[in-house]
Amino acid sequence: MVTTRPSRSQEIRSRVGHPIIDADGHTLELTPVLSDYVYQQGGADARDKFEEMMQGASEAGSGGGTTNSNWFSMTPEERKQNWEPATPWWFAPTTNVLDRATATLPKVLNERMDELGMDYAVLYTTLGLGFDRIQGQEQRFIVCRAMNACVADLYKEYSHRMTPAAIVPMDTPEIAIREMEYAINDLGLKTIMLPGRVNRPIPKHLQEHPEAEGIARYIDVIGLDSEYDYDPFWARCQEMGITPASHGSDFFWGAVSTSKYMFNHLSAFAHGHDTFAKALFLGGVTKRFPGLNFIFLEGGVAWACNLFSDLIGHWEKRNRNEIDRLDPRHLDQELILDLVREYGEEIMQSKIDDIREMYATPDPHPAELDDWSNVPMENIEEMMDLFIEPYYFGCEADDPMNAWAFNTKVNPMGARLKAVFSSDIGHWDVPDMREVVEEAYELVEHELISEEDFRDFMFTNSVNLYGKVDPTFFDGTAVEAEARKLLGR
Amino acid sequence: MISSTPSRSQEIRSRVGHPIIDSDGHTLEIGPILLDFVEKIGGGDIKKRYEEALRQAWNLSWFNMSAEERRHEFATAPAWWIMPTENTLDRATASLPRLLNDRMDELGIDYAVLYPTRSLVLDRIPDPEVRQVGSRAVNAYHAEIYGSYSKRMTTAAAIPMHTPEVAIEELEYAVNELGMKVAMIEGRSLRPLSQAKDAPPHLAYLNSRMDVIGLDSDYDYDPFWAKCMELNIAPASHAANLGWGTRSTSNYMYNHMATFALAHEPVAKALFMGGVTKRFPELNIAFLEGGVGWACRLYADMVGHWVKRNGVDIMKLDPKHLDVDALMKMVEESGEPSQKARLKEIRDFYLTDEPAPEELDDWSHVPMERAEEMLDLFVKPFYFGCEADDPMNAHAFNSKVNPYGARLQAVFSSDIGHWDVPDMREVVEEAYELVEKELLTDDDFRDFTFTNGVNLYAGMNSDFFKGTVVEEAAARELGG
Repeated sequence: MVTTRPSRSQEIRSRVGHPIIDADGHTLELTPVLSDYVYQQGGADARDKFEEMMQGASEAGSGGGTTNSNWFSMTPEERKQNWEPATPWWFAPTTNVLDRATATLPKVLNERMDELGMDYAVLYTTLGLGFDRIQGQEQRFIVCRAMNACVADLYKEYSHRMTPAAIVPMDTPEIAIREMEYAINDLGLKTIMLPGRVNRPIPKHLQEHPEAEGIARYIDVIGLDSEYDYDPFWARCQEMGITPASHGSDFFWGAVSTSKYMFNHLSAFAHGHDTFAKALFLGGVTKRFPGLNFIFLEGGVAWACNLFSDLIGHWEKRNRNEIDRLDPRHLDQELILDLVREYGEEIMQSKIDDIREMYATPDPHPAELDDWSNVPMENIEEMMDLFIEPYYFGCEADDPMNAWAFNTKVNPMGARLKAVFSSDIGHWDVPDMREVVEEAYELVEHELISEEDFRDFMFTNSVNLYGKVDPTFFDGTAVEAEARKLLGR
Repeated sequence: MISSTPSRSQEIRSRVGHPIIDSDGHTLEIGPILLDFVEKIGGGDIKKRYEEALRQAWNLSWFNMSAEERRHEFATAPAWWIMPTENTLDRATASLPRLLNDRMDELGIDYAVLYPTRSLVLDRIPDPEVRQVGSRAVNAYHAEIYGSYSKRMTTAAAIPMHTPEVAIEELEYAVNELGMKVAMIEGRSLRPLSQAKDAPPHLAYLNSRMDVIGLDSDYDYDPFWAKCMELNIAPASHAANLGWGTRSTSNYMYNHMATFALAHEPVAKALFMGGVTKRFPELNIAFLEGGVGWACRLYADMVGHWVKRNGVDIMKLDPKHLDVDALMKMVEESGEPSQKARLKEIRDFYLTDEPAPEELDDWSHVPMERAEEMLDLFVKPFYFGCEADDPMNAHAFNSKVNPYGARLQAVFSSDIGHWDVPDMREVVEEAYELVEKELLTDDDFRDFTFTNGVNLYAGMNSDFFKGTVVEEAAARELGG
């Protein structure tokens, strides 16, 4: 099946002289095979429920599959009335049958890796991207475990060139730890994917109006204000040398379209990651767990450049020292009334007593005046350690905004954000897998990034992402020697 | 009160040799006077309801809750301490137009478009009557108080957008009756969810969906956009995402960061994908206080998505094209044991029809032949209010990175009056740092602080700057 003539991607790979690591390719799972694993994990009942869900025939269909089949059977009016987000559809290659097979058959992918110009790939599920939303906790865990067991079996033989990520449901820290341990220790997987947020009922409304449970919900962004303490989970990640990867999106919340899938897909990952990364930072997770890396996948890096810059702008003007400048007690009451008398319009002069009272009334404030209290910093440069160092960003090949990561002139403090090449092979936005590395290299050809940046993008950043947390991550793989050299082992 | 030595901003203004237009400064409304306007327009009962509605819209009950209570009912951390206090002169400047007028030279600003502060949340008031009176009151307040200073500044009218009819009524009133020439819209509206119609009233806010107006709306807003065209008004969205989507119950900074960008992005996306910019090619729309980084990203993202999934290319993904025999041959040859054990079921799986919507072209409202048309449909009509201290502003001008060499239309937006401006005299100075750090050229700076502001407003209303201090310069810029 593999063409004999080298692809342009293959030529580029030879020319650049360093390995190319794909930090986010996709598998396309076969429901009948996955069903068998669901049966092994949970029995016939769980399998039947799973199959119903995949057919979109059950209530769970709206909460678990990648595609919400219910949406298709609704009229536009019904979609609008129920605010049913337009669901993903036609997201796998069809005309390109070889690519379709490649995303499903590890042996074919393994044979084609050279043709694709890639040395090593970390693979993520497609069907399982929505499994953290499966209704019914027990069924959710069974299906997630089944998926993990399935990919562990399928890809085991090809560990030299690829590794699949485990899905870790984040319902509670205990559950997350349990499922991660099972995936790593029992199934032999070595990387994990988590949703980066949990949809929960609002406790007060659940108590007072249990009938509103389905609608009165909130998004727990885990790192901040969560009703659970996730520190034991982050600690466990560190102990086990695991780098959590967020593949969450805001596809099903926020402002969504009931008619257009493209509307919902645009920026969905960036928005999802923005909230999670901000919560991890402001919640102090990156401060308490130095050395723990995180990767945010498929959302590009521009949102992170924005957030980094925004964090700095906000901290500089509203940190625990600067906030004092805004304390209403510092308002010079006499001066401001003098100014009103001198410069105020006629209409103001007649209300001077009311205006005096308005200025004398203190504005309310929270007990904690420092919004950065979970992440105390003495100077802004500390954000280099707390944001730039631990965060990595999965960037697709065709996104010119990837260049922002390497623009040290614009990024505050000359930061280089850690963009990592993420092919997204297996999905609709890759018409031909052989062209992804070629497309990524266009950033160099268009002089948006240098050869050195390209090396970081395609290789160095990925090695550091995984290898700094687990120096043995690449042992036994096609990039072992180069990774060892880079990590100084 | 006004310093006799020129500020650095003033020096920069002299040096650059072109006017500086501030597209988004803020007024700080004086509550007791604004309330008089509310009472005059709506009566005593409305005044009471307005005061309570405003308290709710600013979520003041949060301050009386414990951390546990906030979490228990998911009460969003509201904005607090948002106005200058230590800098009392700046606090007064944002409330007293004559003082601002006298200080404009000191600030290095020739002309300013001003937006409210207290009334930024009017669109979050659920009671339509109170919302409408509140809008009319703040507009009358601004028209009366700022009317004498029209040479150096103008205030934007708050337009409630819950229905196109009300939006048109208030726009007409503000423009025709009050003489205002800028309109502030939220660009989206909260609607109750039909499945939540029987839910308790206090859950109404949670049980609502965000209507982004341009797409999938309950209402047809085209008559409103047509009215903007007729009245020569460039609507400016000043929406914030506070209290919507993911939010913190403890941390105002968490909620403030990216709030404007997150609010603008779906609005801009909806206006584009809903075909508004196609149907109203001369309508300019501004998105304020969110910077331009989000727009560069959205623009590149839309180009990428359209190129691979437009009305023609979508057919490449049609499941009918899947050669199931060829695929099954590969599964038989190269499948893993667990896959080969299910060949029949896998064939059935591949033969099962994949559902698709009746409309296969997600861009059907904005038909395009080539992606380059986005230059006319996204880059040309949209303007982005950018604060002085944001280095991301530089990306707007990076025609090497932005697809098709686009320069997005960033407009200087001081945000004076709010907490993030410690000293009004330093805003222009801070903006100029982009040039000093070689992130912008002098030409870019001119576009940022002058040309784009002129095109935004005068592009729709050639008389916009008539009678202002920038009249001549604006006319020259427009080739008049």
